[in-house]
Amino acid sequence: MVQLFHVYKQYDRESMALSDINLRFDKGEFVFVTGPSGAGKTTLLKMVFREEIPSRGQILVGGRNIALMPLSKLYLLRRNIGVVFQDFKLLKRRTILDNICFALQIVGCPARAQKQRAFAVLKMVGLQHKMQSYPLQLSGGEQQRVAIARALANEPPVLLADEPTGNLDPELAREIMKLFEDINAHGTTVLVATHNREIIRTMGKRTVTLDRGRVVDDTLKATEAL
Amino acid sequence: MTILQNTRYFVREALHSLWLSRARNVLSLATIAISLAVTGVFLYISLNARAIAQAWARDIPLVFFLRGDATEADIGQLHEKLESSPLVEHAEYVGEKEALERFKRLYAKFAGLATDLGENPFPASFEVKLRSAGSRGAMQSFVDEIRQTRCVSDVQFDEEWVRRIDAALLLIDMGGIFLGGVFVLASIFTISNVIRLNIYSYQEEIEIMMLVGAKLGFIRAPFLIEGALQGMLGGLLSIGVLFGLLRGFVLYVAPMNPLITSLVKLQFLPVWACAALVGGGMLMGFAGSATSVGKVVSQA
Repeated sequence: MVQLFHVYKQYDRESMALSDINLRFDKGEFVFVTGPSGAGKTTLLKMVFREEIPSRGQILVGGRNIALMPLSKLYLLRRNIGVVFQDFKLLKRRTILDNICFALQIVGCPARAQKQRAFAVLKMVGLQHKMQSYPLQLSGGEQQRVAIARALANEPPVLLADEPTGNLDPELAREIMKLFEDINAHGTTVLVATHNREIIRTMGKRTVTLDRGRVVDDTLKATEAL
Repeated sequence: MTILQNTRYFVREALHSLWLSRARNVLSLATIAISLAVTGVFLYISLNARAIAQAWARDIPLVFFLRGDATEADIGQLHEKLESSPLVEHAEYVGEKEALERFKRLYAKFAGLATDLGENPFPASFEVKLRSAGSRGAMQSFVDEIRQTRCVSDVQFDEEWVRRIDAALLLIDMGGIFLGGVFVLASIFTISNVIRLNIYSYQEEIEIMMLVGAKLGFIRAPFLIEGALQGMLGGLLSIGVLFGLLRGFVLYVAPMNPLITSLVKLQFLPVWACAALVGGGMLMGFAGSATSVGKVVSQA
């Protein structure tokens, strides 16, 4: 589903954000990407939906080399990847219902179906009662859940989440992870960047550990080696 | 369904942006209105000058003198040919005898001169009254064509007069095109920059839209519509300005110079010209917006 071949990312001369990354995430896999702050977790995720372009190397998503994708065709990639951003990236002048409807509108979903689907995903994240609120009227945790609901609205084959539980209390964090697990059970590839060791341990999924831009551990390889 | 839904969204967003940045938008509206009003003034002068020229052209004498040996059949054929031309309102045959009578009547003092000659010196002719000025080229080729006819011996046609009218009209048109063009370019430049500023205030939204998979066209459309709406409003405003200027001219300037009112009845721009100003405004707005929106959205 997602393959990275010798991927490097350099923002400035001194530091390498990612260095020689070779990874493969199969269809229906659930993978945690972990590591200390500044390890390159967010950069790795940004590469997969081409918010960043690799300085070197190739990235294939669904068999397509996304580094070569023209700007005018980028929407084709992004409609197939749901992203939960660390800073939520919600449209501030729209209600949370509209934020989700908008993501559905751009893929050509009819107005009535938009509202039904938006309500359903808001219910999944437990925010259906706040659908008429604006993002800035919500707490950080609530905004995080709206971002998750929006990422799920289109039922994308790949879901990326950057620190999705960073603003949530442990109980809600577990609920969100359960939600990701349910989505994953339906065949969606899920990649979660987190430094929450507790969640990683509890979930028992494949974990890729980064440090200073390099893969220092991949539990899949460790399992294969056994 | 989706097209309708998207169109509604684009228009709503365009109106929202127009209102949100109203102070800035007033600047581009004013620029469009001024440039279109200037173009409109020239169009107005050109159309009225053309009406005056056409009225004058009807009085330009055009006479085809006939050869002495022209037969009745030749005369009949020529008459038919003249009457069938779209440039001719009517053609009147003046026989040799009638020409002589007319000379005696008009120049009674010299009436004896013609009698002394012993024979009638006046040839038969066709006096042509033109329908309109037409283009110089069309008029000239019509005259040349008739001149080639076997029974025509000479032509009396004030080509210089037609050339002057043509030159004057061309000068007005060129002035209008030049000044209008300069103002139109200035407008496109202003709209382009105003829209660019508007887009910058939506930078965060544009980035989010791209990240959730919006097509570039979907992101750009509201800004293009906003530009076109600005142009349309500017066009309507320019018609208002022109109407005010003309009313002022008719009420305060024209009475001071009776020559103006005696020449021709001044007419406001016809509907097609008003529609062209509004349509032109929309095109300018669209073009101005398109020059910014492509660049800025691609950078997001």
